[in-house]
Amino acid sequence: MSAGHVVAPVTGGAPASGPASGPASGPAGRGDPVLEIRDLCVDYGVGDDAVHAVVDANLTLRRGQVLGLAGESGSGKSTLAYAATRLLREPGVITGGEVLFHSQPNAQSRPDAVTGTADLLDLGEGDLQRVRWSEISVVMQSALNALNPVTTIGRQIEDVLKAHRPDLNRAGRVRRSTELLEMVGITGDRLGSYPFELSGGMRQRAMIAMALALEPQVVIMDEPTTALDVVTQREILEELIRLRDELGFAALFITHDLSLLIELADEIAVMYAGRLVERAGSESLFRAPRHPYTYGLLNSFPPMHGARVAMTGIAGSPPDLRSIPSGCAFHPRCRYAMERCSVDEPQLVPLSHGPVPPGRSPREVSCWRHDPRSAEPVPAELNQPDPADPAPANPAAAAPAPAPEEEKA
Amino acid sequence: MSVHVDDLAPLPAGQLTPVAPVKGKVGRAIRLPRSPKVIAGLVIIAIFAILTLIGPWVAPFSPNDNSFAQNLHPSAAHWLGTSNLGADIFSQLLNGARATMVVGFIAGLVATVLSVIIGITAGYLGGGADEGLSLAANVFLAIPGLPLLIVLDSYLPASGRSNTLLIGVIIAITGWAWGARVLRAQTMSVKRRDFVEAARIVGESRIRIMFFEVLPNLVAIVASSFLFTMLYSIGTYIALAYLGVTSTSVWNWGTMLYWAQSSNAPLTGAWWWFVPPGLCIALVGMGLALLNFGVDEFINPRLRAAGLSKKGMRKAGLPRNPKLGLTPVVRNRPRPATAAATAAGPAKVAR
Amino acid sequence: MIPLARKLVVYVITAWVAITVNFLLPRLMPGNPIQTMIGKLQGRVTPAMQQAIQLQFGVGLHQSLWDQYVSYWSQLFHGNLGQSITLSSPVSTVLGGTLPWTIGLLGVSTVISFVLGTLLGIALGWRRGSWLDGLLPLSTFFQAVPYFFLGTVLLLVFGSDLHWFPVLGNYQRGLTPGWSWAFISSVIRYAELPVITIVLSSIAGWMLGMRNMMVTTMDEDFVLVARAKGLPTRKVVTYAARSAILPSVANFSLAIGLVVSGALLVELVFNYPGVGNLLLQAVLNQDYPLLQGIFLVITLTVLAANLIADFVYVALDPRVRQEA
Repeated sequence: MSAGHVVAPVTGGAPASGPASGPASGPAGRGDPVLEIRDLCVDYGVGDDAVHAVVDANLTLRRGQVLGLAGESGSGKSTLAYAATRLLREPGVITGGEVLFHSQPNAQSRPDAVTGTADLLDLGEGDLQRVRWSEISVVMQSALNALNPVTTIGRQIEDVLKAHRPDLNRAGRVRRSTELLEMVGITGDRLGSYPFELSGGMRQRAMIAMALALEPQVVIMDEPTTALDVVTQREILEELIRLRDELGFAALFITHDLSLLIELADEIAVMYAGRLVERAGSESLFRAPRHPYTYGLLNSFPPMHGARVAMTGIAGSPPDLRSIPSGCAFHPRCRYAMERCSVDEPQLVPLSHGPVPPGRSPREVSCWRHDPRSAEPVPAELNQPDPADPAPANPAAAAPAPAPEEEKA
Repeated sequence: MSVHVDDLAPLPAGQLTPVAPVKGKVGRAIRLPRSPKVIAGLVIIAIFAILTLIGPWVAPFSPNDNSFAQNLHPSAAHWLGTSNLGADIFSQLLNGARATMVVGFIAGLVATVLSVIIGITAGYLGGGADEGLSLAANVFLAIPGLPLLIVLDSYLPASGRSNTLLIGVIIAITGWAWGARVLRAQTMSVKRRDFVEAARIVGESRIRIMFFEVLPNLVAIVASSFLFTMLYSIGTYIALAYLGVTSTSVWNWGTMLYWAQSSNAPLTGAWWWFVPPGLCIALVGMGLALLNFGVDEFINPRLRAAGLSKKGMRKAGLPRNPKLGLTPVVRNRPRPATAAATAAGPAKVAR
Repeated sequence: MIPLARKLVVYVITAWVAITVNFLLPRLMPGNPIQTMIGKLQGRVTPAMQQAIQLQFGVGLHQSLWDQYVSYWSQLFHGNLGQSITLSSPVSTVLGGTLPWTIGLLGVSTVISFVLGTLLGIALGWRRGSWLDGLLPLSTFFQAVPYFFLGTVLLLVFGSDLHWFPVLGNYQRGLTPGWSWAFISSVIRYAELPVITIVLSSIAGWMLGMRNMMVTTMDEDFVLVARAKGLPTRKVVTYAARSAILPSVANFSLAIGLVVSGALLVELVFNYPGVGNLLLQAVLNQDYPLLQGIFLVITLTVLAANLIADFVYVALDPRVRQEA
């Protein structure tokens, strides 16, 4: 795999896309990959004491789509996202992989925006600065900590405009800042307010407005609603959905709360102990989880309505990253574990059947129970019918054994 | 999956890193210091502590003995030469260590005890007690210490001025306010933690809570405050002695400087008279400051040298100072033999 | 503005405490110090002196303590600080002549020390692990050295031996004071070594405090966000420094007290005709009126400096502007 290259920046004014910076205008359509993370490995520390926080992560973000990244605290989801954008703090080190960014700037990007494909891990400081915020921005968990406490939010938005849009003068910047605040439902007079003068929900909105200032192509959201109460959480989520539809950015939504991703995400990836264990469309994941961990997660919170269901939960606790179990990292807690699971480490592979719809990635899972060459059948809980898949159930369920009926696990 | 928000909320800046609450006694094992700064500080202070104890006995002559030739350069007989009155300077130095260190220590101790009592009380009780005590602390903080001490000590009768204990206590009166303010702030933050609430519910008396639940958690800050106050006290005592406010017959390093100055030693070039005491003061001060570094780094682990040592980083090919926002990329992870994520099947050789 | 008003109240109370201490000390101290002082005059007491001593110390009058206190205050409001025993002139006159020199020296030194120390602290905090880290132990050493000792050594080495700087005094003899360039440049020249001494001794505190605060602040999310925004490095450092500088300003009151004490002693070493020299004379001769006058004036100056620092803090940190 060759490293990407940076095409010479577009000179002059805005790049070739039309006046509207809406979704799918111009050559790249909705669903095309915009950020491809390949075999990313991230360690904390160096040498023998290094902790492998992320191992061989593969993710694809597509234009106009929301990819949810779910996992417990310590699963590596934030590490993955920050490492991909080179924002990981000391002592984080990226030890392998590439992060390909397919850039197609729009009218609101900086005039000399990066175009074409680039490997973020190879960029120098100058090029990274051009990509940052203009093409890729970040929304953090706590707006109170992520906003500069001694500067007004108007100033903070203007900083971004000043740094990336030298073509705007003072009046232009103020106009754009007001526009941004109103886009998230804050009145323009709040430009002169300090973060502590706003409510929690307003602060989060202000941060979202700031993140969208240059209409980036990718927005990484690190648990943006975790610190809010449930009602505000709802409002912010709806706001995000609306903005995504309007502006067409791709979003990586990190959370430990799977239930949030039901409506918001198009695709969901689940992480455990630094590894991706499953990736699927959100509907498919919820109705028909394939990995035992995902299954356990989904059955750990009771539904608000419907019949009472027996809760299972997941026994045990996540492993210390310094001493991961052999083979599959999840096997000590897995009720479907086979002998192989404690010996060989499974890889994230596509479930081998069914067509892949355009603008979507194939469903993937990292579990020996779904190995088509395995002698044992797939457990029924892990093999429920996938609503997105017209094909019949996993052929592995029809065991090579002559018996026509499959055994129920 | 458990959904817990609390453990995700980040700490505000400057707060103590959360450690397991220490109840009753210092439960955590005392970690040996590894930083070279701290070790250097410990060594220096240890040396001077020994001098404090044995100084007058080890001195070759009496500091008041004026029978020698005057203004001698340092020699084998008189390691630091003699004063213009003919006294052995080395003996004066050794004798002077005791008063200097003792006053510094006593003043530091008294001031720290005062600041602990006042600071924790103000922080814990709040309300009117807090207002009153904070006002007192602010007033004492605002009044410049040395001028006040000069006025106070000038009014003392001669007997008072040669009483090192009394001088130490008076210096402490000007030195407690800073520590009290810091301890008050920290008490207010510790007060909100669960184990304090639990103790209150169980019915522990307020005094017990303050000194057996809250105080053990503030030990590091108290230590830092003590070191800082001792540093301040020594400096102030020396200054008072230099001005001649305290009795000039009590030997301490400041008095030596007083005599050296009034005999115009700097202008006659008798550096052996005034340089050694000044150097000793500086060394003690440095020792205390280095120790304080260590305590600071203990309180705030962010101040410690970053996890990766310079050597380890260079070996791994990392830049010496990784910049914020520029995570280093060192592609040294051994690649798996087969390409990942193909549909060919997951039969993968274990790494 | 409420927090400022509260600070002002504290300062007013502090001034009151200082004045009351001045009033009570001579009357309460054992050993009758005032009589000793009068004894030193050996009968050479002018009527003005007599009256001054009476008013200041209540000697010879038979007033109640409270009445003495009231008249003491009324004296102060008239600017009467008593008569100096040794100099035979009103304390206020004596101080009026010397105070400007001290304030000039102190003011310049403090500003230089603060600015330089803060900038170095920012650099140290931002670029950890660079050669600058060597400055830390070095500055600790200078901070531990007593101000006057450092002054003496510098005086000896750079003044007497190397003749790089003039020694002793505040301007060249023979020049007439005025706004001429010759005079002003001479003043600057003679102030260089004392200023250098004070700066070297006090800079470590600012530097260390700023460095520690920078390290702590850089761990904050908003600094990482500033980086993520692709802002130029200068701007990111500013983001961090604006927050990190707040404790330095808040702790100004502690620092200025120490700097003032040190500066007074430095004046002694360099024979700088400021308040420090007066102080030495007053101590040597047990000139209580002068001593007390100096104490009062120094306290008021320090309080004024604190008030300025508080104004600056409120300007820098919008969070305190609303009532907590």
